[in-house]
Amino acid sequence: MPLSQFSLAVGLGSPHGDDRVGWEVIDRLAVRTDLPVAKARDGTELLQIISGRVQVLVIDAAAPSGHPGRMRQFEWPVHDLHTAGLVSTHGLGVVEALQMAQTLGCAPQRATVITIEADQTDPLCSLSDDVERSIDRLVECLINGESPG
Amino acid sequence: MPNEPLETGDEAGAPGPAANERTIRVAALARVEGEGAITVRLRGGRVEDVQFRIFEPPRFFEAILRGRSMTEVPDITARICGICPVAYQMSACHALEAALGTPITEPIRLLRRLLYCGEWIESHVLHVVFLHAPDFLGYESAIAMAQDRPEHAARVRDFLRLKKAGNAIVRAVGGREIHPINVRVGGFYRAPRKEELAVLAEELKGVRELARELVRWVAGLDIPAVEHDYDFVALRHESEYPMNEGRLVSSRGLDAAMAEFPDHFEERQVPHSNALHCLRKDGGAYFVGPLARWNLNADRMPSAIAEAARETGISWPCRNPYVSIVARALEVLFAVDEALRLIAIYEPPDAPSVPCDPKAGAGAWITEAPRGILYHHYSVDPGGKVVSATIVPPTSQNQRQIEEDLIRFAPTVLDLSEDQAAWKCEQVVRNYDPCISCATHFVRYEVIDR
Repeated sequence: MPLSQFSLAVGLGSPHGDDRVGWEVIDRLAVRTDLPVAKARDGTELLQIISGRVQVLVIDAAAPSGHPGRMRQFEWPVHDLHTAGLVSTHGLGVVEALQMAQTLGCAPQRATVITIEADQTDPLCSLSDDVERSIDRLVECLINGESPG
Repeated sequence: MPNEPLETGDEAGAPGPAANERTIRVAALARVEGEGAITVRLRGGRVEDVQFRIFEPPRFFEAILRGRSMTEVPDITARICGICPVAYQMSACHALEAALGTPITEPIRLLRRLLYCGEWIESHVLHVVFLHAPDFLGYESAIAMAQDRPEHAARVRDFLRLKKAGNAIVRAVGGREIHPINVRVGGFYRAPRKEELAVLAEELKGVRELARELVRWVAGLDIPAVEHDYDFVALRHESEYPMNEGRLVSSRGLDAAMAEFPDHFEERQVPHSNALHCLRKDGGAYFVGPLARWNLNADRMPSAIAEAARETGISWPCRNPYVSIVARALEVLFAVDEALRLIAIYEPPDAPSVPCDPKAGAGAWITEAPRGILYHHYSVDPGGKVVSATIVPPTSQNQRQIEEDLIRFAPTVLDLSEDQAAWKCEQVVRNYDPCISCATHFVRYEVIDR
């Protein structure tokens, strides 16, 4: 999965614990690659950022389900993102942003969505160990053009 | 609260012990940020109690702040909310400057007002278009609304541009759109150059007509005709529509200095919620937010905005909570015009901030967050470390009012299906645009009829 296929990488998140997964990955990609990157806070921002792009990479946290740090990869629109365990504020997250973009005729042709399952998302808590290890691994995979899982 | 008799019974119509009980549970009050639950209890056909439970951590942040440098407070409190971080930064900075006895300069005051315009625009447009309008048009979401009719999709597309203009203001003045980093006690780390704001002005001019269209659109929605004698509370400034300054006033005659907030209001713990309820000292509920602001400050609006309000056909002041969506849209239009005015007169300050040398003191301040008044109080030690912090967000203040609205409203929906009853109750809650800053959103709605 070479990074060069993407015109943009976007991290969705908040400052709250493992919910900052998307932002962390983007911060590291910004330092180590030339790929255009952006951070988004909610689905409306994501919608604006991805509008009109051809192929985007989206990183987000998945809701805790007993597998902290688990990485999953989805190819939209091929895969059903409703199974990804994505959560959002105000009910506007990755799934809704892509759906809305499609409705408005400005969706990317393809979006690769990579999730890392969160462990703790309490306000201002730090990244959990499992999630931090997964972030390290994901960033290395992306830079080396490998699929994360 | 007066409760109307209810005609209720076993939903399935089955005889037996269950015949006197009715329970409706709906998981997810969507289009509201945060985590909570609604329970409506009925006994003998009457609404006995309504509990709107939300779980936000204001005391957690208050505890975090103790012992931290006052210079860290704007950046820490900004994290309370991802939608309205500017509000927390503004109340925090003003309260700490009051504690230090340090007045800010007029250019800094105006720059803060410009920053607030950006937050009002982005927060209000998000709620009006994506979260609230679908209620009035009969859609489960903004996506369903846009998918159903091309004209709705076109509006969503246009109003996204409007929201983006608000984001651009926050980015230009605050340093970035997500949790601004340019705000400090005493002012800003860096003042924007005139050229930077000139670019912003062009973007705002380009969306001004969209803001006008937003008002027309929401005024044309099918708004339920409901009125109640609310106790509206807001700031009131001597000449401006209030954002960062003013006296604390209410529709029932309150007129106090903002530092006197604790003399008239108090936070109370309730068993059913992690969030404190803020009430009038006599225990009464009150209503904060755009509708309260408008009702108490409509005469402070520029003539163009007042004319737009007249054209809605709504009789102002208005006591219909559903009209909050119109007040919110009018405030978007105002914020666009106000931002343009502020940019036109902008002169970079000689210094982006005033010196705030640490010393012991205590101070309080209120600003008008998008959802209503936001009270902060801090005491600091001689070294500038925070000794105590009190933060009362608008949603905490509206909680009891939401419950009272639901008590009045619940009897009207009990003949509806579970989905319909829940949806109608959700609309009552969404009138207040509650913003509960947690990563998850999950509300259980439950009606128990004994």
